[in-house]
Amino acid sequence: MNLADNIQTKKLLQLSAENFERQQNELIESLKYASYIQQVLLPSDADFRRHFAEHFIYHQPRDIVSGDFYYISYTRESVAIAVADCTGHGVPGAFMSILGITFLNEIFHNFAGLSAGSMLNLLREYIMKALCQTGEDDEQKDGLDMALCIINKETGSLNFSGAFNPLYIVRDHELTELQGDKMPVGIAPEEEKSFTTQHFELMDHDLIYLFTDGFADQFGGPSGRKFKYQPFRDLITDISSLPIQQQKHRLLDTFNDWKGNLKQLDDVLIVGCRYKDK
Amino acid sequence: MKIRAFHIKNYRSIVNSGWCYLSHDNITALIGQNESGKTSVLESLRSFYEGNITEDVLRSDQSFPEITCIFEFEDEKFTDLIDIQYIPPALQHPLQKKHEIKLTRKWLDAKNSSVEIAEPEIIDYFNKIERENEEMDRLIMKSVHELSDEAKTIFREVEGADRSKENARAGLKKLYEQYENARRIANKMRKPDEKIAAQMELEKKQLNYQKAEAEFNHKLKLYEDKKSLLQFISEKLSICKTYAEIAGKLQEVERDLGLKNKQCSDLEHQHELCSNEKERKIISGRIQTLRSECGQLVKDLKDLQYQFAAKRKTAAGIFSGKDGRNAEDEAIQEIEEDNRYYKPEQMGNMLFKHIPLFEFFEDFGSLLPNKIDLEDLLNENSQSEGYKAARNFLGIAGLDAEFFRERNHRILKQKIENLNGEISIDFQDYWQQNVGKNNKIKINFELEHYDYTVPEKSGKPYLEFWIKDKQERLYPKQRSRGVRWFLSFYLELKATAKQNHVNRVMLIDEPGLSLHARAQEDVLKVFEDLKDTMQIIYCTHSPHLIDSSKLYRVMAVQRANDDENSETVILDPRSLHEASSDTLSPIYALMGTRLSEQSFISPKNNIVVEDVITYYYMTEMAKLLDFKSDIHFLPANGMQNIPLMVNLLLGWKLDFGVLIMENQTSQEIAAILRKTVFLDSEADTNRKVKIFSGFAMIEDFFTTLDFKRFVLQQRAGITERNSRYIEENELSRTILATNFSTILNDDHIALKDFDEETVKNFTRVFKTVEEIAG
Repeated sequence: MNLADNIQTKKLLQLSAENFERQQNELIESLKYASYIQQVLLPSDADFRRHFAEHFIYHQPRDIVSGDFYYISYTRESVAIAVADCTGHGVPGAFMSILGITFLNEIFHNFAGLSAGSMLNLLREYIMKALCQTGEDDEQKDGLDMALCIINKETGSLNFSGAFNPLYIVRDHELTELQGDKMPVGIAPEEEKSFTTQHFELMDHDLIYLFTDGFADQFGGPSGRKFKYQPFRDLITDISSLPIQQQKHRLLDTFNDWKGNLKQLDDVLIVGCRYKDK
Repeated sequence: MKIRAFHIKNYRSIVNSGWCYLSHDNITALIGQNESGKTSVLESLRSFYEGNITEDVLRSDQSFPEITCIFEFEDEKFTDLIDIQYIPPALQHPLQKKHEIKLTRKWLDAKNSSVEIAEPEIIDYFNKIERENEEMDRLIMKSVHELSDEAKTIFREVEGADRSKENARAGLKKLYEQYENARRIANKMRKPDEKIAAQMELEKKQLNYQKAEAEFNHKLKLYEDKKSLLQFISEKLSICKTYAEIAGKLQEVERDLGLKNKQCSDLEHQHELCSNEKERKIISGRIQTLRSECGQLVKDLKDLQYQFAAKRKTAAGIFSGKDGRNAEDEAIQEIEEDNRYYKPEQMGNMLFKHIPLFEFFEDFGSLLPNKIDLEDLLNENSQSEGYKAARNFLGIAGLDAEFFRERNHRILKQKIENLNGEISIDFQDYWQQNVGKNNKIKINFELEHYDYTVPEKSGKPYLEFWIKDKQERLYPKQRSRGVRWFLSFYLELKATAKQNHVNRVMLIDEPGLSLHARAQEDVLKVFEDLKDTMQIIYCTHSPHLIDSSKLYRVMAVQRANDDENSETVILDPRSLHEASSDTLSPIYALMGTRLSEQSFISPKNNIVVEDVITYYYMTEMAKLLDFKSDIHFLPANGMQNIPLMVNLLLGWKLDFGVLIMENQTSQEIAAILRKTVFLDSEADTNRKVKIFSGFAMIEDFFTTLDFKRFVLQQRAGITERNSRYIEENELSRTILATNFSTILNDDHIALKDFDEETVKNFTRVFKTVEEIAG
């Protein structure tokens, strides 16, 4: 290869690198914009404050856009809170989250009086219809894991239904777990079954925690293992006596300490609310 | 083996039926309008078995039919049917695991067809070999051209090398002479300085000579190399050329054979049409000659195919670097090895021997005779009138020649009387109808002897048949067409079932056309009774020949669109709801018929519901919920007919209530009832007429999940009300209701399998029903 060829090759390489950098920047810009749109779709702090003066939302996406989302909506009698984890993270997860939020809104406002289980049943129908899931082998099996609770504002009666995800209620330093059903909101491997609805009577000052699996499944600590659920329950019980915003900071610090230099594996989302009797 | 499914292509109006799976319990009904193609389905299966087609079977594009059937093994295994050592080793393992096999019959022309095994592994395997052979052919042909060019070049090079070698040889000779000359001069020189000079000259010449000799040797070697290369290439070329020549001959023989076969079939056609005996003889002679020529050509073809395969493999061997002799030996060895294994057609033919016997019954034409000579019966004289029916009769009775050798007339009479009793009882089991009020018919036969009035047969035995009832003793021919048909059908099927050493598939076109509705149900009863001994596929228009609780047995046959020339579409039980309402009319009629069988109107507790569908869901759910109140649901055949029904009940002074769903007309109907029945009494109307709010149709009582699981039997996402989904997708509510009834009864569904909400909805409705009934 002569000198002229060398110079030509170098120029071409330089051009490719510039192109690549430009494309990457464009992509990051697009994702940032997508993240902004996603933020707009998520409920605001004020939406939560309207019903729960004391609350926190700890949301730490793994990528620019997230496959986890939270939801709050209300009618005259009740308020519904949900935390969900979509199949995948990043862009595919974000698309699913948009579908999930849209469908939840439609269901909650058009089918008044549904129990949490019936809402998840209906949400599953929406998802299956949207993704054309019919049980064929070669189709997409995407769906959501979700914890959904509906609280009667007058009576404090909570009904909960979960797709894999549970709900924790802490009263006087004691944690009660309402377990979710072992199936996703989306097509099941063999046959769809009804989501069950569990009831719980809330009392003044009870703390409600809804979350996805990102925190408990994070690898880290001295031996690089998962954080796991029992330590997570202990942590929640432990921080329940703290003021609500400090709880969020404790969670954040604990997560970052645990993760250390390891990569964040999944989106992390924990919502905590204190129920106040009227 | 048992037939499990069929796939028909290019048979009359059937272009491509797709896979049609038969009912697992051996009874399959084909329903559809006239000209829909039902009979074509049966006839195509007959053609599959017999290998015959007529010209009317061919479609306008003249494409030949192709029919594939899946046969399920019962007690046998693949290895019981075919000696595994003759299966190519690569296929042995997958085939040994098979529980079913696919066989395809393809027609090459109107008269010739072949059956091949159509298992994907086998097709792939032989296709792969075919592709490899094609690739080999292509490479060989390509190589022939390349080799020819190469041979020409090398030939020129050999010539060049030869010339160069000869030149070198001439030069060498010349140098040798110069050297010899120099040596002589050197020998002659005496003076030392001249001797030295001559010696130097000699050495120079010697050197020149040695150089030239080395060059000559080099050129000689070059020449020899080129020559052996030429020889090697010529050898290759010669094999390739032989291969190409055989390929050409093969094509020629194939063409000749095709031509001669065509001439033969043209002559056969001429022979059929020709009325002149002399000409017929001449044509017949020509056919004979052509057939023998064809026979010789087939033999030649086989030889050529063998040679062709051998040369192909030899050529391939040579191209992979083997020498000619070895390549040829190995090729022959490989072909011998390949020929040891069965080809798909051979496998097809061997398996075909084990498939069930297909029998087609268009009409049970062989009616029981009034009498038949015993001699004709025992000598199997099929020409004698009613032979087949009489033979069937004896078959069912288990009689043979030995029976009639009984010398003691009294014992023989007694035996016959006993048999008559047994057969009559068995027949009455199926033929439920009475002559008059309670008068069952009996079938009898008697052994008689001709008397002097028939001198030529005097003293010879004959069998006489009677169909008796309490009033009359009549010959079969004196009975109605319906009785005769049923008797013939009964004898045929029962006798066939008795020959249980071989599996059978009965193809029956329109059974019981001339029978009363009740007798048609008796036909179904015969099917039910025989289904363990044979598979039955039948066409029908009659609702009485369909069991509504077994709709999995029904296939709908219809045209793709309204045009009667459009292709036939076959819908299996899972897709019945896609069939047109005309096609499904026997099922719709059937549901009405079932209703008419119930004694469901009583003096009290009659609840009028909107339609038959509501009636079905309510009765099925009542059973599940163990709702035991003495309530009688009456379907009104549409909302608009509810006032009429109520008026009828009023007229008969029967107690009633009305339960309707909340839809566009429910308030209107309630208003009509209030005005016309309850004389504007709001309280009476509210007490007797209940509008169930929040539910447009009975199907809305199910949660979406239950609706999908037990009614729709699909898993697609549904976000609208069930009733809306039914309307938007134009589904047949009747079919869905029968699906529900079937799954409930066949899959043993219990109340616990339903969602709590579904149970709550139906419990509520039954409570309301109890309230209305008071």
